[in-house]
Amino acid sequence: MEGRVKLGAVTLNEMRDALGLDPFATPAADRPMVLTATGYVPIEAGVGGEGAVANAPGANAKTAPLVEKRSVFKDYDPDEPRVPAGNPDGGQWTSGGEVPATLPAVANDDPITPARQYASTLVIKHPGAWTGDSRTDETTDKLVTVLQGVMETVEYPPGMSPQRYGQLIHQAFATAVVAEGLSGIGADDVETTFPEGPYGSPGSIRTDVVLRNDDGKIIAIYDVKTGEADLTPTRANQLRAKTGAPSKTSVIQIRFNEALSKIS
Amino acid sequence: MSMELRLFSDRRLSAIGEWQNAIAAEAFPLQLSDETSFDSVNGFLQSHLRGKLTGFECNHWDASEVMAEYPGVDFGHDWKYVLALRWLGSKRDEMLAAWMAATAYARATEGVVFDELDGKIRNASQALEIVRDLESDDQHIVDAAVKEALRRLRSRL
Repeated sequence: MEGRVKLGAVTLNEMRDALGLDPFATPAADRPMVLTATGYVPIEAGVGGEGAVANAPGANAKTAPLVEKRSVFKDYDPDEPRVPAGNPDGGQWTSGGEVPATLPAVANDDPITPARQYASTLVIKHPGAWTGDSRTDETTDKLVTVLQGVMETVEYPPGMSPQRYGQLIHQAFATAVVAEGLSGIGADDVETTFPEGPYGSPGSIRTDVVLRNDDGKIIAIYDVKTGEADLTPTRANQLRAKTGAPSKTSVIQIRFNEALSKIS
Repeated sequence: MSMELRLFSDRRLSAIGEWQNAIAAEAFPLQLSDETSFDSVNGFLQSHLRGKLTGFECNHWDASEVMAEYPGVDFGHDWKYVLALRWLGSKRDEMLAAWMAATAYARATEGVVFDELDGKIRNASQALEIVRDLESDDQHIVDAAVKEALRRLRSRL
Protein backbone atom coordinates (compact mmCIF):
# COMPACT_ATOMS: atom_id res chain seq x y z
CA MET A 1 0.00 0.00 0.00
CA GLU A 2 2.82 2.40 0.84
CA GLY A 3 4.24 1.83 -2.62
CA ARG A 4 0.92 2.83 -4.14
CA VAL A 5 0.91 6.04 -2.17
CA LYS A 6 4.35 6.80 -3.56
CA LEU A 7 3.13 6.16 -7.09
CA GLY A 8 0.15 8.43 -6.60
CA ALA A 9 -2.23 5.52 -7.13
CA VAL A 10 -3.92 6.12 -3.78
CA THR A 11 -3.90 9.02 -1.35
CA LEU A 12 -2.40 8.98 2.09
CA ASN A 13 -5.83 9.08 3.67
CA GLU A 14 -7.05 6.22 1.46
CA MET A 15 -4.16 4.18 2.79
CA ARG A 16 -4.97 5.18 6.37
CA ASP A 17 -8.61 4.24 5.81
CA ALA A 18 -7.55 0.82 4.54
CA LEU A 19 -5.45 0.41 7.67
CA GLY A 20 -8.34 1.43 9.88
CA LEU A 21 -6.64 4.65 10.95
CA ASP A 22 -8.18 8.09 11.27
CA PRO A 23 -7.54 10.41 8.34
CA PHE A 24 -5.11 13.28 8.51
CA ALA A 25 -6.86 16.66 8.55
CA THR A 26 -4.50 18.22 6.05
CA PRO A 27 -5.98 18.60 2.55
CA ALA A 28 -2.75 17.27 1.09
CA ALA A 29 -3.50 13.86 2.56
CA ASP A 30 -6.56 13.59 0.29
CA ARG A 31 -4.67 14.33 -2.88
CA PRO A 32 -2.66 11.83 -4.95
CA MET A 33 1.03 12.49 -4.46
CA VAL A 34 4.08 11.07 -6.12
CA LEU A 35 7.22 10.53 -4.09
CA THR A 36 10.17 12.18 -5.75
CA ALA A 37 13.64 12.61 -4.36
CA THR A 38 12.53 16.02 -3.14
CA GLY A 39 9.52 14.74 -1.32
CA TYR A 40 5.86 14.26 -2.23
CA VAL A 41 4.62 16.17 -5.27
CA PRO A 42 0.94 16.52 -6.20
CA ILE A 43 0.22 14.20 -9.12
CA GLU A 44 -1.66 16.88 -10.96
CA ALA A 45 1.40 19.11 -10.96
CA GLY A 46 2.35 18.23 -14.50
CA VAL A 47 -1.19 18.50 -15.79
CA GLY A 48 -1.56 22.00 -14.55
CA GLY A 49 1.49 23.38 -16.25
CA GLU A 50 4.68 24.85 -15.00
CA GLY A 51 3.22 26.84 -12.17
CA ALA A 52 1.01 24.12 -10.87
CA VAL A 53 3.33 22.66 -8.29
CA ALA A 54 4.49 25.93 -6.91
CA ASN A 55 0.92 27.10 -6.54
CA ALA A 56 -0.57 23.88 -5.27
CA PRO A 57 -1.50 23.59 -1.63
CA GLY A 58 0.91 21.34 0.09
CA ALA A 59 3.72 21.87 -2.36
CA ASN A 60 7.03 22.56 -0.79
CA ALA A 61 9.57 24.99 -2.10
CA LYS A 62 11.88 22.20 -3.18
CA THR A 63 9.51 21.16 -5.93
CA ALA A 64 9.48 24.46 -7.75
CA PRO A 65 12.84 24.18 -9.54
CA LEU A 66 11.88 20.74 -10.79
CA VAL A 67 8.87 22.11 -12.59
CA GLU A 68 10.63 25.18 -13.85
CA LYS A 69 13.18 23.01 -15.59
CA ARG A 70 10.45 20.78 -17.02
CA SER A 71 12.78 17.96 -16.24
CA VAL A 72 11.65 14.45 -15.49
CA PHE A 73 14.73 13.97 -13.34
CA LYS A 74 15.82 15.28 -10.00
CA ASP A 75 19.34 16.27 -9.20
CA TYR A 76 20.46 14.56 -6.04
CA ASP A 77 20.96 17.02 -3.23
CA PRO A 78 22.88 15.39 -0.37
CA ASP A 79 22.29 18.41 1.83
CA GLU A 80 18.54 18.14 1.78
CA PRO A 81 17.19 17.20 5.21
CA ARG A 82 16.13 13.62 5.69
CA VAL A 83 14.77 11.50 8.48
CA PRO A 84 17.77 10.15 10.40
CA ALA A 85 18.98 6.62 10.01
CA GLY A 86 17.57 4.32 12.64
CA ASN A 87 14.14 5.89 12.39
CA PRO A 88 11.63 3.55 10.73
CA ASP A 89 11.38 6.13 7.96
CA GLY A 90 15.09 6.74 7.97
CA GLY A 91 16.51 8.13 4.79
CA GLN A 92 13.25 9.47 3.46
CA TRP A 93 13.20 13.08 2.61
CA THR A 94 11.66 15.33 5.14
CA SER A 95 9.43 18.00 3.74
CA GLY A 96 7.88 21.16 4.94
CA GLY A 97 4.46 22.62 4.28
CA GLU A 98 1.37 20.50 4.56
CA VAL A 99 2.79 17.32 3.13
CA PRO A 100 3.30 14.73 5.86
CA ALA A 101 6.99 14.03 6.20
CA THR A 102 6.63 10.40 7.06
CA LEU A 103 4.21 7.63 6.39
CA PRO A 104 2.66 5.42 9.02
CA ALA A 105 4.10 1.99 9.43
CA VAL A 106 2.38 -0.68 7.38
CA ALA A 107 1.50 -3.89 9.10
CA ASN A 108 3.63 -6.77 7.97
CA ASP A 109 3.70 -10.29 9.27
CA ASP A 110 7.38 -10.68 8.60
CA PRO A 111 10.06 -9.14 10.78
CA ILE A 112 11.85 -6.45 8.87
CA THR A 113 15.28 -5.05 9.23
CA PRO A 114 16.25 -1.63 7.98
CA ALA A 115 19.59 -2.74 6.65
CA ARG A 116 20.83 -0.32 4.08
CA GLN A 117 20.25 3.14 2.85
CA TYR A 118 21.22 4.48 -0.48
CA ALA A 119 20.74 8.19 -0.90
CA SER A 120 17.10 8.97 -0.16
CA THR A 121 15.48 5.55 -0.41
CA LEU A 122 14.88 3.30 2.52
CA VAL A 123 15.21 -0.33 1.68
CA ILE A 124 13.83 -2.97 3.94
CA LYS A 125 15.38 -6.37 3.64
CA HIS A 126 13.71 -9.40 5.01
CA PRO A 127 16.13 -11.58 6.93
CA GLY A 128 14.85 -14.55 4.98
CA ALA A 129 16.17 -13.06 1.77
CA TRP A 130 19.69 -14.09 2.64
CA THR A 131 20.69 -17.51 1.44
CA GLY A 132 24.06 -17.92 3.09
CA ASP A 133 25.64 -18.30 -0.31
CA SER A 134 28.00 -15.38 -0.64
CA ARG A 135 27.70 -15.06 -4.40
CA THR A 136 23.93 -15.01 -4.29
CA ASP A 137 23.77 -12.66 -1.34
CA GLU A 138 26.28 -10.23 -2.83
CA THR A 139 24.33 -10.23 -6.08
CA THR A 140 21.09 -9.62 -4.21
CA ASP A 141 22.73 -6.69 -2.51
CA LYS A 142 23.94 -5.26 -5.82
CA LEU A 143 20.57 -5.69 -7.50
CA VAL A 144 18.87 -3.85 -4.67
CA THR A 145 21.46 -1.09 -4.94
CA VAL A 146 20.75 -0.77 -8.66
CA LEU A 147 17.02 -0.73 -7.96
CA GLN A 148 17.46 1.97 -5.38
CA GLY A 149 19.48 4.00 -7.81
CA VAL A 150 16.79 3.64 -10.45
CA MET A 151 14.04 4.64 -8.06
CA GLU A 152 15.95 7.75 -7.09
CA THR A 153 17.15 8.71 -10.52
CA VAL A 154 13.97 8.35 -12.51
CA GLU A 155 11.62 11.20 -11.76
CA TYR A 156 7.89 11.08 -12.31
CA PRO A 157 7.14 12.54 -15.74
CA PRO A 158 4.34 15.10 -15.35
CA GLY A 159 0.90 13.77 -16.18
CA MET A 160 2.00 10.19 -16.68
CA SER A 161 -0.35 7.48 -15.40
CA PRO A 162 0.81 5.04 -12.72
CA GLN A 163 0.71 2.25 -15.30
CA ARG A 164 3.04 4.06 -17.68
CA TYR A 165 5.30 5.12 -14.82
CA GLY A 166 5.48 1.49 -13.76
CA GLN A 167 6.57 0.57 -17.25
CA LEU A 168 9.22 3.28 -17.14
CA ILE A 169 10.67 2.02 -13.87
CA HIS A 170 10.67 -1.58 -15.04
CA GLN A 171 12.35 -0.69 -18.31
CA ALA A 172 14.95 1.43 -16.53
CA PHE A 173 15.74 -1.32 -14.06
CA ALA A 174 16.07 -4.03 -16.71
CA THR A 175 18.36 -1.82 -18.76
CA ALA A 176 20.39 -0.84 -15.72
CA VAL A 177 20.93 -4.45 -14.64
CA VAL A 178 22.25 -5.37 -18.06
CA ALA A 179 24.43 -2.28 -18.16
CA GLU A 180 25.83 -3.04 -14.73
CA GLY A 181 27.40 -6.24 -16.00
CA LEU A 182 27.10 -8.11 -12.72
CA SER A 183 29.11 -11.28 -12.39
CA GLY A 184 26.96 -14.28 -13.17
CA ILE A 185 24.29 -12.23 -14.91
CA GLY A 186 24.78 -11.92 -18.62
CA ALA A 187 22.68 -9.82 -20.95
CA ASP A 188 20.72 -12.97 -21.78
CA ASP A 189 19.95 -13.55 -18.13
CA VAL A 190 17.63 -10.57 -17.88
CA GLU A 191 14.05 -11.16 -19.00
CA THR A 192 14.82 -14.59 -20.35
CA THR A 193 12.40 -17.01 -21.97
CA PHE A 194 12.21 -20.51 -20.43
CA PRO A 195 12.29 -23.24 -21.51
CA GLU A 196 15.06 -21.63 -23.52
CA GLY A 197 13.82 -20.74 -26.94
CA PRO A 198 12.77 -17.80 -29.06
CA TYR A 199 10.67 -14.98 -27.71
CA GLY A 200 7.01 -15.83 -27.77
CA SER A 201 7.30 -19.59 -27.44
CA PRO A 202 3.83 -20.81 -26.47
CA GLY A 203 3.61 -21.89 -22.85
CA SER A 204 6.94 -20.35 -21.94
CA ILE A 205 7.57 -18.16 -18.93
CA ARG A 206 9.98 -15.29 -18.56
CA THR A 207 12.24 -14.81 -15.60
CA ASP A 208 13.24 -11.33 -14.54
CA VAL A 209 16.84 -12.12 -13.63
CA VAL A 210 18.72 -15.35 -13.20
CA LEU A 211 22.11 -15.73 -11.53
CA ARG A 212 24.47 -18.43 -12.77
CA ASN A 213 27.56 -20.01 -11.28
CA ASP A 214 30.83 -20.43 -13.14
CA ASP A 215 29.48 -23.57 -14.80
CA GLY A 216 26.49 -21.71 -16.16
CA LYS A 217 24.04 -23.39 -13.82
CA ILE A 218 21.25 -21.26 -12.39
CA ILE A 219 21.80 -20.71 -8.67
CA ALA A 220 19.18 -18.02 -8.02
CA ILE A 221 16.09 -16.64 -9.71
CA TYR A 222 14.99 -13.08 -9.04
CA ASP A 223 11.40 -12.00 -9.43
CA VAL A 224 10.82 -8.26 -9.43
CA LYS A 225 7.31 -7.17 -8.58
CA THR A 226 5.40 -3.96 -8.31
CA GLY A 227 2.31 -5.11 -6.49
CA GLU A 228 1.69 -6.15 -2.94
CA ALA A 229 0.99 -9.84 -3.27
CA ASP A 230 3.88 -12.11 -2.51
CA LEU A 231 5.34 -14.46 -5.00
CA THR A 232 3.53 -17.69 -4.25
CA PRO A 233 5.25 -21.03 -3.69
CA THR A 234 3.34 -22.27 -6.73
CA ARG A 235 4.84 -19.58 -8.91
CA ALA A 236 8.29 -20.12 -7.39
CA ASN A 237 8.07 -23.81 -8.23
CA GLN A 238 6.88 -22.98 -11.74
CA LEU A 239 9.94 -20.78 -12.19
CA ARG A 240 12.25 -23.56 -11.04
CA ALA A 241 10.55 -26.15 -13.21
CA LYS A 242 10.46 -24.09 -16.39
CA THR A 243 14.07 -22.96 -16.00
CA GLY A 244 15.26 -26.47 -15.20
CA ALA A 245 16.84 -25.21 -12.00
CA PRO A 246 17.17 -27.60 -9.04
CA SER A 247 14.22 -27.70 -6.67
CA LYS A 248 16.26 -26.05 -3.91
CA THR A 249 17.21 -23.05 -6.04
CA SER A 250 16.53 -19.77 -4.27
CA VAL A 251 13.76 -17.67 -5.75
CA ILE A 252 14.18 -14.17 -4.44
CA GLN A 253 11.53 -11.52 -4.70
CA ILE A 254 12.44 -7.88 -5.00
CA ARG A 255 9.65 -5.36 -4.74
CA PHE A 256 9.65 -1.89 -6.09
CA ASN A 257 7.87 -0.78 -2.97
CA GLU A 258 11.07 -1.27 -1.08
CA ALA A 259 10.73 -4.70 0.35
CA LEU A 260 12.76 -7.73 -0.40
CA SER A 261 11.93 -11.22 0.63
CA LYS A 262 12.70 -14.78 -0.18
CA ILE A 263 10.18 -17.42 -1.03
CA SER A 264 11.54 -20.80 -0.10
CA MET B 1 10.51 -7.01 -14.99
CA SER B 2 7.16 -8.54 -14.25
CA MET B 3 3.84 -6.76 -13.94
CA GLU B 4 0.57 -8.52 -13.39
CA LEU B 5 -3.18 -8.18 -13.33
CA ARG B 6 -5.92 -10.54 -12.31
CA LEU B 7 -9.10 -11.07 -14.26
CA PHE B 8 -12.03 -12.18 -12.11
CA SER B 9 -15.29 -13.50 -13.48
CA ASP B 10 -18.18 -15.78 -12.63
CA ARG B 11 -18.18 -17.47 -15.98
CA ARG B 12 -15.39 -18.49 -18.29
CA LEU B 13 -15.10 -18.06 -21.97
CA SER B 14 -15.05 -21.43 -23.68
CA ALA B 15 -12.33 -20.93 -26.24
CA ILE B 16 -9.64 -18.61 -27.50
CA GLY B 17 -11.94 -17.93 -30.45
CA GLU B 18 -14.59 -16.57 -28.12
CA TRP B 19 -11.99 -14.35 -26.47
CA GLN B 20 -10.89 -13.19 -29.91
CA ASN B 21 -14.47 -12.29 -30.78
CA ALA B 22 -14.64 -10.18 -27.64
CA ILE B 23 -11.40 -8.43 -28.65
CA ALA B 24 -12.79 -7.78 -32.11
CA ALA B 25 -15.95 -6.32 -30.59
CA GLU B 26 -13.74 -3.76 -28.84
CA ALA B 27 -12.04 -3.04 -32.18
CA PHE B 28 -8.65 -3.74 -30.64
CA PRO B 29 -5.86 -4.49 -33.17
CA LEU B 30 -4.93 -7.63 -31.26
CA GLN B 31 -4.94 -11.18 -32.55
CA LEU B 32 -4.56 -14.03 -30.07
CA SER B 33 -2.94 -17.25 -31.17
CA ASP B 34 -5.32 -20.20 -31.09
CA GLU B 35 -2.46 -22.68 -31.16
CA THR B 36 -3.24 -23.61 -27.56
CA SER B 37 -6.71 -24.37 -26.26
CA PHE B 38 -8.08 -21.93 -23.74
CA ASP B 39 -8.37 -24.53 -21.00
CA SER B 40 -4.76 -25.58 -21.32
CA VAL B 41 -3.19 -22.12 -21.47
CA ASN B 42 -0.35 -22.18 -18.97
CA GLY B 43 2.34 -19.67 -19.79
CA PHE B 44 3.01 -17.38 -22.69
CA LEU B 45 0.00 -16.76 -24.89
CA GLN B 46 1.24 -15.55 -28.21
CA SER B 47 -0.53 -12.68 -29.90
CA HIS B 48 0.05 -10.09 -32.55
CA LEU B 49 -0.52 -6.41 -31.92
CA ARG B 50 -0.93 -4.53 -35.17
CA GLY B 51 0.74 -7.48 -36.83
CA LYS B 52 3.76 -7.48 -34.50
CA LEU B 53 4.51 -10.51 -32.35
CA THR B 54 3.91 -9.92 -28.67
CA GLY B 55 1.91 -11.57 -25.89
CA PHE B 56 1.66 -12.18 -22.19
CA GLU B 57 1.71 -15.06 -19.78
CA CYS B 58 -1.71 -16.40 -18.90
CA ASN B 59 -2.63 -18.86 -16.20
CA HIS B 60 -5.86 -20.24 -14.78
CA TRP B 61 -5.58 -19.99 -11.04
CA ASP B 62 -7.84 -20.72 -8.12
CA ALA B 63 -9.95 -17.62 -7.53
CA SER B 64 -10.39 -18.10 -3.79
CA GLU B 65 -6.65 -18.55 -3.30
CA VAL B 66 -5.86 -15.44 -5.33
CA MET B 67 -8.38 -13.31 -3.45
CA ALA B 68 -6.86 -14.54 -0.19
CA GLU B 69 -3.53 -13.07 -1.30
CA TYR B 70 -5.03 -9.60 -0.99
CA PRO B 71 -6.66 -9.43 2.43
CA GLY B 72 -7.03 -5.66 2.23
CA VAL B 73 -8.93 -5.67 -1.05
CA ASP B 74 -12.72 -5.80 -1.25
CA PHE B 75 -13.49 -7.85 -4.35
CA GLY B 76 -17.24 -7.38 -3.94
CA HIS B 77 -18.04 -11.04 -3.82
CA ASP B 78 -16.35 -14.40 -4.16
CA TRP B 79 -15.59 -14.70 -7.84
CA LYS B 80 -15.58 -18.16 -9.36
CA TYR B 81 -12.74 -17.83 -11.82
CA VAL B 82 -9.54 -15.91 -12.23
CA LEU B 83 -7.06 -15.51 -15.02
CA ALA B 84 -3.60 -14.24 -14.13
CA LEU B 85 -1.99 -12.15 -16.84
CA ARG B 86 1.69 -11.35 -16.52
CA TRP B 87 3.96 -9.40 -18.79
CA LEU B 88 7.42 -7.93 -18.84
CA GLY B 89 7.04 -4.41 -17.56
CA SER B 90 9.73 -3.18 -19.89
CA LYS B 91 7.78 -4.24 -22.98
CA ARG B 92 5.09 -1.77 -23.83
CA ASP B 93 3.41 -3.98 -26.44
CA GLU B 94 3.01 -6.79 -23.92
CA MET B 95 1.45 -4.41 -21.45
CA LEU B 96 -0.95 -3.06 -24.03
CA ALA B 97 -1.83 -6.54 -25.28
CA ALA B 98 -2.57 -7.72 -21.75
CA TRP B 99 -4.79 -4.76 -20.97
CA MET B 100 -6.65 -5.09 -24.29
CA ALA B 101 -7.22 -8.80 -23.75
CA ALA B 102 -8.29 -8.22 -20.15
CA THR B 103 -10.71 -5.45 -21.09
CA ALA B 104 -12.37 -7.59 -23.73
CA TYR B 105 -12.56 -10.61 -21.45
CA ALA B 106 -14.05 -8.56 -18.63
CA ARG B 107 -16.68 -7.13 -20.97
CA ALA B 108 -17.61 -10.54 -22.33
CA THR B 109 -17.90 -12.18 -18.92
CA GLU B 110 -19.06 -9.17 -16.90
CA GLY B 111 -15.94 -9.64 -14.86
CA VAL B 112 -13.47 -7.20 -13.38
CA VAL B 113 -9.80 -6.40 -13.76
CA PHE B 114 -7.61 -6.13 -10.69
CA ASP B 115 -4.40 -4.23 -11.29
CA GLU B 116 -1.63 -5.21 -8.90
CA LEU B 117 0.13 -1.91 -9.49
CA ASP B 118 -2.46 0.37 -7.98
CA GLY B 119 -4.62 -2.20 -6.23
CA LYS B 120 -7.75 -1.01 -8.01
CA ILE B 121 -10.60 -3.07 -9.38
CA ARG B 122 -11.97 -1.93 -12.72
CA ASN B 123 -14.89 -2.98 -14.82
CA ALA B 124 -14.45 -3.22 -18.58
CA SER B 125 -15.27 0.41 -19.24
CA GLN B 126 -12.77 1.56 -16.65
CA ALA B 127 -10.14 -0.83 -17.99
CA LEU B 128 -10.71 0.62 -21.44
CA GLU B 129 -9.54 3.98 -20.09
CA ILE B 130 -6.23 2.37 -19.19
CA VAL B 131 -5.95 0.93 -22.69
CA ARG B 132 -6.52 4.36 -24.20
CA ASP B 133 -3.87 5.82 -21.93
CA LEU B 134 -1.38 3.11 -22.84
CA GLU B 135 -2.00 3.72 -26.51
CA SER B 136 -0.77 7.29 -26.23
CA ASP B 137 2.36 7.80 -28.22
CA ASP B 138 4.78 8.82 -25.51
CA GLN B 139 7.28 5.99 -25.65
CA HIS B 140 9.93 8.57 -26.52
CA ILE B 141 9.44 10.09 -23.06
CA VAL B 142 10.02 6.72 -21.42
CA ASP B 143 13.05 6.01 -23.59
CA ALA B 144 14.55 9.40 -22.82
CA ALA B 145 13.91 8.94 -19.11
CA VAL B 146 15.59 5.54 -19.13
CA LYS B 147 18.59 6.88 -21.03
CA GLU B 148 19.04 9.76 -18.65
CA ALA B 149 18.58 7.52 -15.62
CA LEU B 150 21.37 5.25 -16.83
CA ARG B 151 23.65 8.20 -17.38
CA ARG B 152 23.08 9.35 -13.83
CA LEU B 153 23.38 5.89 -12.40
CA ARG B 154 26.78 5.40 -13.97
CA SER B 155 28.06 8.40 -12.13
CA ARG B 156 26.68 7.19 -8.83
CA LEU B 157 27.18 3.45 -8.63
